[in-house]
Amino acid sequence: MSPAAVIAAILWLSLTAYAVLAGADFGGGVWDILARGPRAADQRRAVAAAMGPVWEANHVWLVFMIAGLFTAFPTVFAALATALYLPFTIALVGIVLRGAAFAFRGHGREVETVSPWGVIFGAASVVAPVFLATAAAAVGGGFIVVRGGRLASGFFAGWTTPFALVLGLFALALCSYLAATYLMVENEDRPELLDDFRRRAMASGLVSGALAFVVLLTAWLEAPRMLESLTGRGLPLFILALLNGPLALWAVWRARPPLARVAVAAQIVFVLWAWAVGQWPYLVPPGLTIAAAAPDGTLVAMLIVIPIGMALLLPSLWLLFRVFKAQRPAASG
Amino acid sequence: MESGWFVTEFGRQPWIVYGILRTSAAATSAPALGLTFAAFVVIYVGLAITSARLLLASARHNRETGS
Repeated sequence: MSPAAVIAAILWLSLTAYAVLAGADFGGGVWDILARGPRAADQRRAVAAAMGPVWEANHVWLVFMIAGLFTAFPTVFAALATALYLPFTIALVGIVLRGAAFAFRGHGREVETVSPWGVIFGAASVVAPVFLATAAAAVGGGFIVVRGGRLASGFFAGWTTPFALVLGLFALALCSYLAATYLMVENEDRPELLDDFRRRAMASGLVSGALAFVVLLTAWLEAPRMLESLTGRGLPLFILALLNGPLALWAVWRARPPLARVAVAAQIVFVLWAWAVGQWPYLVPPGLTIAAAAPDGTLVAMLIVIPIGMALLLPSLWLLFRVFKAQRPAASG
Repeated sequence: MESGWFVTEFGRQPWIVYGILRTSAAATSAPALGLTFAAFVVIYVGLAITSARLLLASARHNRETGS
């Protein structure tokens, strides 16, 4: 593999980590607004307790991906940052407001009730994943066109289509599904809450499954390139996703939290990698491949620096998750 | 912290990479930059005011409870 290919794969791993970690934080926000029933306050507390220690750290993967893309594939970065300026800015506002609302609400000690910051927190949790997914639709559908180093497609191209909207809703449903299964694991010792989140996982899992078919249908109608990626080189991973989907739902249905968590996270990994492998070596089809990389000197320097950085980052994250996520009797399930 | 950031960013102008790339040459061609700038100013001023108020309220609360 060329240095560019290795770095592209590392960046995609980073995006995957962001999706399965921060995706669940976005989903947690959804369950915060949808907290209902006699245990609504407990549900909100469970979401806050699960997210509190890690949501900020989870953004390290987004930052790493942006900085890495900027360094290793500057022309790709320029194309995406220009063509998707609007959805990225909207998602960024969502991420900023969401973090601030979460922190402010924690300070005001009003986690249990509905407060203005709670509403902002919930709304921003919806906005960020939806707009990030509409941006993904523009990339995967091949709607971003660059000619002679300049953006030839418009500022609304690709991410304002019905396909992008459906993909945005699908991403939101998947985030909610993921969050509900993580919350099942974190509340294994509290049967009533476990059952609340099991029912939520079931509902969002079924919605995700139904939306997946709508995504495929709209892709077939509007974004054939995306469908070609999934059914071409990405087919083995796509088949794994199709097989894993029912398994994940079964694990939720039979209340097997650890298995459900792994299966739903795997579902997101399969979908993301089916797409990435399917469009390889393109980063932004139809024009930009991994050949649009920075000079080899930059790439080699990156390949030296990344392991050093990871040697610091990964043990720190391991410690963070160990301290805050291992204290519950999750292992006994 | 924010002031320190302002000093480095303002002090570097008109260069974005000192001596190599001018900020004007690096700027995006995307639309509505003025609008997004205004939106971010409003958001950050709002966040600054809110965090100051919350910190003051928190300090007052601790003084009253004597902790």
